[in-house]
Amino acid sequence: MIVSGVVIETLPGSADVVAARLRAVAQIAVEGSDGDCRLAAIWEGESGEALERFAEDLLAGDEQILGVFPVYVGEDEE
Amino acid sequence: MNRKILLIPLALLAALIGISLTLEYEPQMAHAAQLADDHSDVETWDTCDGCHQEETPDEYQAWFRGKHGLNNVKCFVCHGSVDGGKFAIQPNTEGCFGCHGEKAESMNTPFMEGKTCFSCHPPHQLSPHVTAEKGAQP
Amino acid sequence: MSVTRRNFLRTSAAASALAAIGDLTTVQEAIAGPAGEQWIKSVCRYCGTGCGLYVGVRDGEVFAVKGDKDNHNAGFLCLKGFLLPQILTAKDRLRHPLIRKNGELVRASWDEAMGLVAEKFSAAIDQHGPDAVGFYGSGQGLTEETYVANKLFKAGIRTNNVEGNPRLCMASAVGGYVTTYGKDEPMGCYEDIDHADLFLIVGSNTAECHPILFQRIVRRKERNPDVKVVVLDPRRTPTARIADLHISFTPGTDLAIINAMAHVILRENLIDEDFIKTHLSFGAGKAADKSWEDYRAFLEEYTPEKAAALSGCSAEEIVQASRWFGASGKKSMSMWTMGLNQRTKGVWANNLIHNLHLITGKIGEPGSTPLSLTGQPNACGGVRDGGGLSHLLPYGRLVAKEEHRAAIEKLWQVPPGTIQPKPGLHTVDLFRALESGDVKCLYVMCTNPGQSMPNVGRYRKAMEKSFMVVSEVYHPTRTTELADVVLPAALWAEKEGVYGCTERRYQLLEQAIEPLGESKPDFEILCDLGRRLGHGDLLPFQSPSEVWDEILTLCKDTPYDFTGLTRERLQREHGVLWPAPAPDHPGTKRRYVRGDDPFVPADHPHRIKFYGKPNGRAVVWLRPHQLPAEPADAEYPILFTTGRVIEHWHTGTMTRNCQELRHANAEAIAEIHPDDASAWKVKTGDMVRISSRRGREQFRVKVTDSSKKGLVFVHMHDDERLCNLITIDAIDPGSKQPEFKICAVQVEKV
Repeated sequence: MIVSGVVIETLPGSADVVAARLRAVAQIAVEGSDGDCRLAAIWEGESGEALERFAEDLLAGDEQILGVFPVYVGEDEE
Repeated sequence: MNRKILLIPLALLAALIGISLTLEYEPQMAHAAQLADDHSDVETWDTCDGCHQEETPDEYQAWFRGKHGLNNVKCFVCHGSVDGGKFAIQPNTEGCFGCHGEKAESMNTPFMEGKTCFSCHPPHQLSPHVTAEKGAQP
Repeated sequence: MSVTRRNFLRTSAAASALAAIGDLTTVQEAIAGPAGEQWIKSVCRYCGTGCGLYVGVRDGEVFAVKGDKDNHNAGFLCLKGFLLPQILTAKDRLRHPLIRKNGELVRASWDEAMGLVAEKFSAAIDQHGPDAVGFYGSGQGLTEETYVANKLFKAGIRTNNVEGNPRLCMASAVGGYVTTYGKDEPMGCYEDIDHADLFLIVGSNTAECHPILFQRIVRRKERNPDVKVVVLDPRRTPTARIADLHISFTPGTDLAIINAMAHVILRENLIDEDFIKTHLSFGAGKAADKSWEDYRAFLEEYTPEKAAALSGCSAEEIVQASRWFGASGKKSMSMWTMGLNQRTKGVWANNLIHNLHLITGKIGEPGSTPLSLTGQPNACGGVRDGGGLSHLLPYGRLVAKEEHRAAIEKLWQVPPGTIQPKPGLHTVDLFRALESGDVKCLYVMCTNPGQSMPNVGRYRKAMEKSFMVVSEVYHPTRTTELADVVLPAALWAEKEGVYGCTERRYQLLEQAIEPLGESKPDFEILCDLGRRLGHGDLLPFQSPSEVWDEILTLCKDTPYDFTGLTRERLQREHGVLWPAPAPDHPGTKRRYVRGDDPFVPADHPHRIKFYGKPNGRAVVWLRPHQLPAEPADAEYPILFTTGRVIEHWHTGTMTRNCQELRHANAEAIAEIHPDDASAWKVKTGDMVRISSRRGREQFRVKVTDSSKKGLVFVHMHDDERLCNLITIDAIDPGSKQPEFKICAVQVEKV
C-alpha cells in the first residue's frame, strides 16, 4: 500500500474548482491549496505503478489539471 | 501486501532505469571528448545555434520552438561551452535548478529514484506535463 | 499498529505536499543548506529588471546562484544572471591600486593612491575653483555609493559637476515623465503585464535585454490567446517572435508613426472624452497652454498614409496597431527602452507614447500603463531618484530651485548657500570640458566611458590628457588604460547596498563574501576621499546601513517617500515598491491612483490624481515629427545603430569573463540585410569597414533578413571593435542624452 503526498498543478485560478471535483475521487484527499494553481493532496493506492496510472488518468481526464507531482512516497506494511 | 514483493519490482524498475541511463551516458562521454576537438576552430563571433541549425536541426528546432528557445535559455546554459571544462553533450540537471529550484525537492522521493528531469521532460523541447490542447505551450 | 502507521504516512504526505505549495514556509532571507553552505539574499548585477536571487556561498566563495521564487521573477534568471559567480573570480580582477608613473600603470598602496588623488583634486580646486573637478558615476553603483559621492561633490567640494551614465541611457525617459506628469518614474509595475490585453513594444528588444520581463509577457500571451503584441522596431528582433504585428520602419520616423496612431485613435473615436476633460492639459514647446482643439488640429496631418509613406511601413499596420491599442474595454501596456531614449528627440518620443495612454484613458488600471524599461540595475534608485545628475538634488529636488537647495542644505546640516545655484555640466559637456581643460580632474566610478561614450575617439583623447581616477573592478578596460589612478573596487556580492529597479522596487543586496585582494567597496573609497579632502564631517558613516538611515531622512515628505523601508525591512522582504511612507505600508503598485497611492486622498473625486502637476493634470504634448541629427544622405547613405545581445552586458567587462559567454557572440559583428550584402558583395564572415564623419571601425558581417535594408546594426560589448568610434554625440536639447541609435555611415568591403 502506497501513501503519497502529491502537488497538483492547475491552470491559474482553477485550484478551488479542481479541488471541488477531486472530492468525488476516492483515492485522493485534498489537504490544502494556494488558492490559485496548486493543491496539496494525499493519494493512497496499491503501488507505484498504480500511482503513475492514476496521475496519467487525472491529467488526461481533467483539462484544468496541468501536472501531478509526487513529493513524498511511503509504504504501508499491510 | 507483503513488503518484499512490492520492493523487488520497484528495485528492478529503478535498476532498469539506471542501467538504461548509464548505457546512454558511456558512449556519450567518449563522444564528448571527440566533439570538443571538433569544436576547436569555432569562431568567437558565432553562437552554437548558428551551426547547429544545420548540424543538428531536429534538436535545434525542438529547442527553438519550445519555451527555452523562445526565452533565450541558450545551449551553453545546459551544455556548457566548447571553451570550458563543463562542456557536456548529456548535461546534468544543475542548470535546471538554477531557475526551477523549487522542483528540486520533488526529485528527492523514492518514486523519482533513478530519474532525472529529462526522464519526463524531453531534452531540448523540455515541455512540462502539458499537452498543446491545454493551452500553456507555445 | 497499521492504522497508526497509516496515519503517520498520511500526515507526512500531507506535510510534504503542503510545504511544496508554500503553505508552511515563511519568507527567510538566508536559507541554510547542507552544512557549510549558505544562501544569501541578493539581486542580479545586470539589467534594470532587478531579478531577485540567492547567492550560494561555500568556504567563503560564491559557487552558484539561484532565482528567488518569492520575488517578482518567480525564481527565474536569464542566462547572464545564471553565470554571475564567474564575474567574481575572473583573472583580470584588479586586486590592488595602480598609479601611472612614467607612462606605465604600476602597483601602489591605497595610501599612496588616495593621497595622490586628494592632492591632485585639492590642487585643481585651490587653483581653479571647485568646477575644475567632476564625478562621473553609474546606474550600476549602489544607492548609498552614489549618495555619498553626490554629497561629497555638491556639498563638500561644492561643484555640481556630478553626472552618471544614466545620462546616456534614461535621461529622455526622465524628461518624458517629468514633462508629462510632473514627476519622474513609471506609475505602473510588472504586475500590469499579467493584466494587459495589448502590448506595444517600441524600440526595445525585450527578449534579449529584459529577458525575464519578456518571459512574463510570453506567459501572459500563452494563457490568454486574445492578447496582442505589437512590436515597433526597424529590425525583426527575437522579441518580434511573439508579435502579432511587427512594424518595421526607417529609423527616426517613429514620431510620425506614434502621432499617426493618435490620429487613428481620434478618428475612430477610441478616446476617453471624460478622461480628457478631467485629467489633461495640452502643450507645445515648454508651455502647457494649448487646447484639445489645438491637439486635434495638430494631429490632422499625421494620417496613417502620410506616416507610412515617410517611414516605410504600411498604413494598414498603423491602423491595426491603433485599433488594438484603443479597443474599448481592453487594457494596453507600452514598453520601450533605448530605441526611443537614445535620440535627439528622445523626450518628444517619450511624450508621444504617454499621449496614447492619456487620450484613451488607458492608464492607472491593472494592465494599462506606459512602462519605461530601465537599462541598468540602479539607474532609478541611485541616480535618478538619488539626484546624482548635474541638475538634480535627492528625491525630486532641483539644483536650480532655491527652496530645494535650502531643504537639502538643512538636511545635510551645511550652511545656507553651500550648494551652487547653477546646474553643473551634463555628461557630453563634462567630457568636452575635460578636452578643453576647464575640468582638470575626473573621478569615474563603476562605468567605462573609454568604450561607451558616443564619438568615443574624441573623448578618449580628453580622458587621456586629464587627471582621471577610475574606480573599477577589472583591469585593463578601455577606461583604466587611460587613467592616472586605478582603484580596485569590490564587486556585487562583496559589498552591501540597495538597488532600485524599473518598477520602483527597492531591494537590498546583502554582502555574501569578502572583497577580493585589496579591493574595497566604493562606499569606503569615497568616504576616505572625503576625509582626505577635509569633508569627513559630511561623511561620518561607518557602514552603508548608516548611509541608508540618512537617505531615509531625505526622502521623507517627498513624492518618493520610502521612510517605511528601513534596513531591517529590506533584509526581511523581497523588495518593496515606493512610495512606502510607513513601516506597515505595503508599497505602491500604481501611483496617482486613488486607493493605491498614499498621496492621493481617499476621498479624491476621481480615480486618478496627477499630483505632480500643480493643476493635477497630465500634459499631452504636441510633438511634431523631426528627423534625427544625422539622417542618411548621398555621402553617408546607410544608417548605423548599435545595441546589445542577450549574452553580453554593456561593454562586456563582466560577461566576457564568463567561460560560456566567451564563445557566444563575443565579437561585435555588423548585421546587414541581404539586399545590401549583395550590393556590397559581402557574405557572412567577410569584413567591412564602417565609417562616419567621426571615425571608423572594421567588423565581421552577418547577413540576416532580420536586419533592414539601409540599416547596419552593430553590437556594443566588444572592447576591441569600438562601435562608438562611429556613433554621434548629438544630444536631445531637453534631456542632454546622446543619439546613439542613429547616425549616417559608409560601408565598404575590406
